[in-house]
Amino acid sequence: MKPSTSVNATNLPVLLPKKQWYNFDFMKMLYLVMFLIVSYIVLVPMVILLYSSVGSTKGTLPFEQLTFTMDNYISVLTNPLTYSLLGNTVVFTVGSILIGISIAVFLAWVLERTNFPGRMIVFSLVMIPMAIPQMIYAIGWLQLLNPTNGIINVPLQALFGIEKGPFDIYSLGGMIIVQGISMVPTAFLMIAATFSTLDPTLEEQSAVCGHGIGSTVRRITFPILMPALLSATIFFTIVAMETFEIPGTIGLTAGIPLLSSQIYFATHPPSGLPDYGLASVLGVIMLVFAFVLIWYYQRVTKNAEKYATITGKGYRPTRMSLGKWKIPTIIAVWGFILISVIFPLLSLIWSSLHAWTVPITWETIKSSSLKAYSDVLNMSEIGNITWNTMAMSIGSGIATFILVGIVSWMVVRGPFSPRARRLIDTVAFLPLAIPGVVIGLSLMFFYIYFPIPVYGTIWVMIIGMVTKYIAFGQRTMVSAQMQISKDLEEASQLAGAGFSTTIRKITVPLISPALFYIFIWVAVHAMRELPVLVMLYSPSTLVASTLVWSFWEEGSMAKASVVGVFLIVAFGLLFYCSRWLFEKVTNSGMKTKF
Amino acid sequence: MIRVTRLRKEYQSKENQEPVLALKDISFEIGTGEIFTLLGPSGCGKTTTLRSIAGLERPNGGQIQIGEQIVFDGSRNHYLPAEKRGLGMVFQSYAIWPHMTVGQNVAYPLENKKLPKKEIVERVRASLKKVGLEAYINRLAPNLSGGQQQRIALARALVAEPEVLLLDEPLSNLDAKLREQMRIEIKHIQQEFGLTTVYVTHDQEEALALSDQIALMKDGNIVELGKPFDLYDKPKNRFTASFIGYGNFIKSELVQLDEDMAVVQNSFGRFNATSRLQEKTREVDLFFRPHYVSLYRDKPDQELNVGEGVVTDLIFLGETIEVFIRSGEDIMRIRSHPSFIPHEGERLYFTLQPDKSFVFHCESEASSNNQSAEAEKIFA
Repeated sequence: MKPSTSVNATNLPVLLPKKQWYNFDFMKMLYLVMFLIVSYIVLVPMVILLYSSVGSTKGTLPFEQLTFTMDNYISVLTNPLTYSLLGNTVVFTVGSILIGISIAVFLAWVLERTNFPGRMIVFSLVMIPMAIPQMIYAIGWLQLLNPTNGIINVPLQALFGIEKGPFDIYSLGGMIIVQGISMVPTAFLMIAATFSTLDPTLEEQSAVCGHGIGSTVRRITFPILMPALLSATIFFTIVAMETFEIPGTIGLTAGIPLLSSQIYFATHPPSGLPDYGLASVLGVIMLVFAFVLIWYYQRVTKNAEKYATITGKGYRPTRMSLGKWKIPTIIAVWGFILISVIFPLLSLIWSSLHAWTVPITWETIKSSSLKAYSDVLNMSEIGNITWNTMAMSIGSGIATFILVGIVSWMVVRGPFSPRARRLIDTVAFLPLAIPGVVIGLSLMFFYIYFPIPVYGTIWVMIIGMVTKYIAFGQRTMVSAQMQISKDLEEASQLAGAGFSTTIRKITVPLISPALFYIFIWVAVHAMRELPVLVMLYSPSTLVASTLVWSFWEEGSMAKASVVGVFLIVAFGLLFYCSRWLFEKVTNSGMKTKF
Repeated sequence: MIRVTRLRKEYQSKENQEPVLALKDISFEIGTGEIFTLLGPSGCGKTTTLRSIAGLERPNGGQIQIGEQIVFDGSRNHYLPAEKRGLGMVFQSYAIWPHMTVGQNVAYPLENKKLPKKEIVERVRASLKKVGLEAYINRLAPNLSGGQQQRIALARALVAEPEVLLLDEPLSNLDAKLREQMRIEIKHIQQEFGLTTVYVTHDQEEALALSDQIALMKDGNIVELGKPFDLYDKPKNRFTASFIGYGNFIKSELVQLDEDMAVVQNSFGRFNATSRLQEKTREVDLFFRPHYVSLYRDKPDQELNVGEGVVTDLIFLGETIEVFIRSGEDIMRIRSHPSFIPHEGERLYFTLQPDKSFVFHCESEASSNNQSAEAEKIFA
């Protein structure tokens, strides 16, 4: 303090500096605004859905009449079809998470905890299906395993002299396998993270006590990781229950309706009037299931930190030797990669070269053509669709990361009461329980009726995407911010930096990897998203994923495959471009160079 | 100069519960150029006090004055945020920003002052030179060792030439040898710049070595405040005696009490000691440091202040030897010069000095209430 600015202690005027770290009024305004935005995004769809389940009838939208009726509930709950629908959904959900989680756990353990050769390559190969839209993944599998002319089935038919291919993808079993495998990359990422933080001395202690590899895994590794595994399982139960792509493609052809696909077909019937009442009631049922699961998820994850596994000191991950299990493990892992990555990708490319599904023979190879590619590229709307897709996915990514960047900062560091922070955190987490088709359905109701001119534009799609991904973004951002020590911000304050300087030069650069991750994650997912968008797109706002869907509906498999190939290429580009951009942005903040 | 007056801080631990008082009624004054240490076990409020001075924590009441400027006044709702106080601080975690180079870290406080670029570069170089890290100016900070990060944090705290330096357990993450070295270095820098320094630690040895004054804290109160030697040698409080250094507490019976001298009887003998009692109680503890004891093979020729017992254990420590002496159920520890080495089972005599021995209330009676009353007495 310089003498010139000093104030006599006895007659001190009440001096409140203009810019204050905890400027309460500004902070209160910020909280209010953010709370309203989050509530609007999250609560509107749910309220509308409940309203429409008692307000609409077959052929009418919820706001076209103002009578309330329980008829929708009565007709759904007395219809035996409803129960077979629920049965199918339960079997599908449970089956696919059993497959998905057990493969993911196996891979995570092998790659994180053992001396498996070539871990880095396997790691990136396993992640590839994440870049493939599920819809396209499903098409790839249909080409491989459809019972009449699937690429794998045909040679087997010839080999064994049987009429029908041995594998029938058009069955609940087929759907379960495809869904299960398609969930592996995400589940693997989640579970691998917990495996990698496990303190290896816990396992080493077991080995010292005379336990072999199997006994150690069974008695030490898994019990410790149980809370984390359980929370991952619940999370993917919700994912599998609300998924639309596989029920909407394979399930439709097989004649096996699930909750999610039934909601779509109630609003988009092949003939006759849409039944919004029925769709809403099914949506409410789904919502109830999801809320029970989320409630349980919250409970489980609360205890997940019980086993704090990382400690700063002396943490050196060591790996178990696979020993005699090395060869079988290698075969299992590479076999999985072949099945889950290489086959579907090749099959997709193959199907983009042929107007209809054909087995691989010398003749069909010769008859391959790029006609579908030129058809797609010569479509009059192609420029429009590309623009829509880019704008929608990048816009969703940006909107989400800005929103969760602010909200998570408020939750972790904001000068608010614990109760206020928990409230906004909980509201932001709720959308995890709203299935995609339900988000799409209720946004459709809301924006058709209310005079906010976004329906039929890409804005409604961006709102839908933010609703769907805010929960994920919030979780990720909160944990990223918690890892950043408060000291780093406080040290900046001590160095004379005000609130905005600290945020700009310290907080944002430090959380920018997480922000980048959220941006890219949301943008990629928005690009491949179908359940929400299938309810919201209009002919003028076709995006790539809804284009695949409409090609699929009209039976143009080759064109659908072509768009799929383009999408996968676009993911690669998007990833590298934004990575480069972010590095440039985050490095530009530093002024002084030496 | 820093003056803290009747500082109070509450925390709302859980909803619908009474707030916890982290600081109950803290007052002290630090002279310009002094090193003032806040010492105490974890949760005693020492860090909260430091953070209140820094401006990172807003107290609920009281006043803080730094130099001529009042930075916090609860009664007038006046509060100057940390960035306006112009202090230097080293955090326990060092808080080195991982996305910046060493030079950028140190330059940061100067950038906020909007100084010309040339001056910034010069001052950063000078500051890093002082801590011996000039060569590392373009390194990314996280790649450096703990000791180096510590020096960067120090350079960053000093680069803007503050008059007050705040240190929050700065040495606790270093290994023993480095800790000693940094302790000397911090003292040198502090003296060179005449910095008024507030130092927080739970390590009593560090506090004794560095401080001009120590405030020993417990449960949100200052238990005792004074020069290191006085706290060690003439503790006014049982907690001070037990927290700083090692000492023997021997269960005794109060025989006589006049003014501040007491006579006590225990299984070793009858002793004359300085009283720290507030009232007469039958059961008391006799306290003395292990090295203020003289050992004899033959009984010294005096009535009072002579004890006897049997040697149970010997621990040779190089410069000294520790002798454990037992009588009845009581065991005491004595530090002796290696020129006198008793053997186990030997009967020994010892004498105590009345001005180096103190009589305290027993633990159960000397509850924390008593100690806070004591603390208030000190300030009265």
